[in-house]
Amino acid sequence: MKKFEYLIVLLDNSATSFCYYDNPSYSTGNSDLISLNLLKRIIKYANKNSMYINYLYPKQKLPETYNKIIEKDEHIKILPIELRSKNNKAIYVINPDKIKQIKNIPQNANLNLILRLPRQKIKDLSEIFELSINKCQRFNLILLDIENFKQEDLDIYAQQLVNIQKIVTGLYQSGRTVEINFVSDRILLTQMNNCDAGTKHLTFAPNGKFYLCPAFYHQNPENSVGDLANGIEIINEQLLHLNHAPICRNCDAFHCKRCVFLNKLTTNELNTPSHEQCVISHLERNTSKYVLEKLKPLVKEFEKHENIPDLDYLDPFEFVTEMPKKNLNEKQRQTQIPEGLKSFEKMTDREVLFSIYQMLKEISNKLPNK
Amino acid sequence: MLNNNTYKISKPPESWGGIQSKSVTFVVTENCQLACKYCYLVGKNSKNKMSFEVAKKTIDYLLDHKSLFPSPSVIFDFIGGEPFLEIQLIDKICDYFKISAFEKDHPWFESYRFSFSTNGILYDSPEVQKYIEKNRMHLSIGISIDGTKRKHDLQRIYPNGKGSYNDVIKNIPLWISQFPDASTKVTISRDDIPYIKESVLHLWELGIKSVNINVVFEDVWKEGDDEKFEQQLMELGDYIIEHKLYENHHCSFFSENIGKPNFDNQNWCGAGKMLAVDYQGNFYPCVRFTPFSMENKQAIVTGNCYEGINLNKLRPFLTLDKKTQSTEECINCEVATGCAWCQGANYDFADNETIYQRSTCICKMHKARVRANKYFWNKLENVNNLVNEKV
Amino acid sequence: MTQKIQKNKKLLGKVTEKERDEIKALFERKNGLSELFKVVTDDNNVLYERIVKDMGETTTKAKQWWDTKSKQYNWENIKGYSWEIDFNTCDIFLVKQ
Repeated sequence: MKKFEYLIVLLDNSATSFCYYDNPSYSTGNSDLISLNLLKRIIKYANKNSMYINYLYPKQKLPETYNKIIEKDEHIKILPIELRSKNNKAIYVINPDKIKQIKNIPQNANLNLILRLPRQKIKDLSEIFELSINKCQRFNLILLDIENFKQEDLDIYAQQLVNIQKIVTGLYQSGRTVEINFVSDRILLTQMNNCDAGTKHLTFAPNGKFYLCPAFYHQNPENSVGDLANGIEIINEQLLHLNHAPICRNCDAFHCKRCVFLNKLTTNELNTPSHEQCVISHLERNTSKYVLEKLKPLVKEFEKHENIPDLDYLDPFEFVTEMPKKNLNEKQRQTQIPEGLKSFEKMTDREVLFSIYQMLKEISNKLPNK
Repeated sequence: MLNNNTYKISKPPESWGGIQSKSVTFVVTENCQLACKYCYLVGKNSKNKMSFEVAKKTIDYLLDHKSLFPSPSVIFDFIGGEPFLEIQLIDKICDYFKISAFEKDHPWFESYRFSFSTNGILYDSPEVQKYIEKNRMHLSIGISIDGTKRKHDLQRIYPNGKGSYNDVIKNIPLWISQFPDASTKVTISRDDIPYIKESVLHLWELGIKSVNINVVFEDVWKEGDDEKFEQQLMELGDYIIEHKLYENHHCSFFSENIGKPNFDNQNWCGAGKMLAVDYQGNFYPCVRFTPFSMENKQAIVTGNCYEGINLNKLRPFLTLDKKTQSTEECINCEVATGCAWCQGANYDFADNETIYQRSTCICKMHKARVRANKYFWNKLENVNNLVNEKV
Repeated sequence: MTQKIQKNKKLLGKVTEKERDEIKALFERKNGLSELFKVVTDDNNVLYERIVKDMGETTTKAKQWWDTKSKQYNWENIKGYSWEIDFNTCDIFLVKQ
């Protein structure tokens, strides 16, 4: 069986979302708890396959029998903020209706927070961020309703990021080491680090079936990729991988989630992001670039990080479709046209001949000396 | 490339506008007089017809959004079903475009074509002839005639089973006299294989110098079909060489560029770069993605004439490349070039809802074609070298 | 393609692709205007006048192009013959009318 690293288990149909998707049952509180038997079986399955479990909790408290079973093995809890306790290992989700509760969280609570921010509230982002940041060890921002974003929403987000740049720069300068998914992640990363739904993790729902992620379950329970009896089968699984994503495989917005659910929703394809997703990731990437450039001369820990290059686009779609291939440098050519397939179409005859000469030279250089 | 000093090879007529043209397909009707057996339009009906309002809205959208449509030229393809069933609507659409483009001083006024794929039955009707006369300098009309009567009538039949050859052939001389460089599109399915050679020769004899011919992309091919196909092509090739028909006639089955390993990563199909509009004003990446063309999947709608194009729905098409949709076997195939696919068919046949699963139904047929091509080009070169020696 | 001297058609030379594009655009525009005339109705005088004017200007520009290029390239001219261009090859021919 393909090796997955971890498993998301929905403890209840109304379990909180922690990502871009909405779960209508969470708001209505329409509970459908996973059966105890099924819970035991999936834990056994995860242990057998070395999968680390992330439990998604509903608003309601679980029966004690469930807690006992869950606590037997190492795991991560993802809880709505209403269930906040002193457990710092848990991840807490602030849903749109609970944003006001942020002010009730004590300073230095050192939480791992996920803020699910609705589109209408983007204009308040920097204010909410400033209020939250000292209560976190890690702050994760999830923008909601991206599939309906218009240019004005992107503009507002861009402006909010300008405000946040200053906050973050000040924060790090003061020695505070908080992780911020849309700022510090890109500074630290040297390659793509995405959600990887369907490749690194799967989701198990209360109906006993597997899904790429909870979003697909909530969208339609028939989106299943398998169950305990029959195993996992992901049709056209290769499309979940980076090398099968023409826009993404050359991109350096390494922190981007590359959310396959949003991809499917906006473009009909798992491997293709929408314009808005790309712009958002690049606005964030550019924020990271700004912060890194500011801090490199000032904070020793930042010296070691690789520079983030200048880009003249916010959407790598432009790079893939419009930039003349002949303007690529050698590294870009290798990634743009992977596995040795070279495009000669836009080259002049002279360039083709030169390319062939270069290739022959490379081959010749690799030959053992006579 | 072969040595052109000793002999001339006829090439297909150059396509007008090339890759600089934006192709806009108006699916003016879903009706057709015929019920061709291999037709991929599985949902033909007499009910769904485009209104002038929808066409007008579409043209207005195209002309008013130059930034979205920056190509210097445009080709309006009128198809169906059978487009000539709606010649009056088409006439009105074309007139509207001409006037609007002129009044708006749009660059397309200096660079446009109206293109038709027709079954040819109504070609000589007064209405169609009047339309041709009116738009003579901007027309490209292709009549689909599949070859000899027995080949044509095998597939291109009326709903009652009667063949349509006689109703088409009578219009061919008029068509060729009006469009001397016209080409035809021939489709080959299983039953047609024995008639390939005679059909291509027949079409050439009729005066159609360029024959574009392909096998169907559907999963119809059985064991042994490829060998019969190869034999037919070889026999055709022998005849062509013996009678030196290669100098003034073209058949797309024979190409010097097929049968080599992949050298690029380009997609084969132009779906997404063109725009198809149906009777409701919905936009599609091409006609093959319309509801009446899909057998197994939902149509892929990429916008409409009221709200415009949904660019996000187009992104997968515009970034589609060969490698991402092909198996390792296809990518590494030693005879890959010239192996074609239809994006719409790929999507319709895919195991799930994606355009990224390339169908390989014609693999053996392509390899047979490659073998026949190698035979043909080697023989041609040998024969002409011998001639050279004699001279 | 080898040069051919036929009875009624003589190859004079070539123009550049840019020059070809200039006359091609004028040629296309003329065709478009000719066909537009067939569409205009009597009740649209404004449009008709505009087309007439445009046709005049286009025809003049085309004539100027031929005059300029023929002098530039020193093309032969014989009474009863006219110049033609092959848009695919940029070749200029002298053709008997």
